[in-house]
Amino acid sequence: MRGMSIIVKTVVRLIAPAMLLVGVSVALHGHLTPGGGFQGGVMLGSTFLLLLLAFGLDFMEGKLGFRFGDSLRGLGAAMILLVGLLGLTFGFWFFSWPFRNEAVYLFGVPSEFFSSGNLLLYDIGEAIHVAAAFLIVFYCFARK
Amino acid sequence: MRRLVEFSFLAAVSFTLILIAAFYLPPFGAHPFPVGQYYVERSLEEVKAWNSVQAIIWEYRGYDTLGETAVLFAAVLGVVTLFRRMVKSERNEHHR
Repeated sequence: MRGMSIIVKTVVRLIAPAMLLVGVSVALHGHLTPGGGFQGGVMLGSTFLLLLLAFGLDFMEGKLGFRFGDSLRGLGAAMILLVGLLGLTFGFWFFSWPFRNEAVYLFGVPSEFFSSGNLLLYDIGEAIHVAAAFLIVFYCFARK
Repeated sequence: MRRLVEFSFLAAVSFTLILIAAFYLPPFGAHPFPVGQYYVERSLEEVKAWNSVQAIIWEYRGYDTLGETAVLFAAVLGVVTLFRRMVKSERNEHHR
């Protein structure tokens, strides 16, 4: 799959960083504003699709390999599972957040960035998982 | 004749059950899921998250979201497995 014309490449070069930034922002502020890990991950994935269409498969695979995306996907899914398993410690239950003492960690004041316990970690893991999943699905579709 | 008897028996039983169930319906205009009101009232102090949707999907309904993630993982795994064969065969044709 080859890239598109110079006009498309220039426009994509302008707007792709903004799209990536908005995606990361939506994913990281999932516990404060509308959005969340999945929504931010889908924005990142659509940015990858735009780059793939504009610059072609070879360029994108040179920057972000298929193997790398696949392992990133597993990393995001494993991060969600590990944060869920972390809830089992200190006598709490699966998918809970054991560090409920505000002096220790998170669960702080609402509206601050570091608040609401494990939601931030879940959002980061879900964003990585979804973005990498969409990336490798687009690779699969673009190759054939 | 026998089918008619069976049918009328079943119809009577189902009608009775529906009638009994109708008396236990929530009153008209009431919220069908009272737990929604609980989420709205308590999620800010329990989870300390402004976005109560995120509080519901990760904290109260965490297992549901975990299953959803597993579904996405399995779906992408299926896509990769399906397309790897095609990519390999195409590559072999190029080498030939």
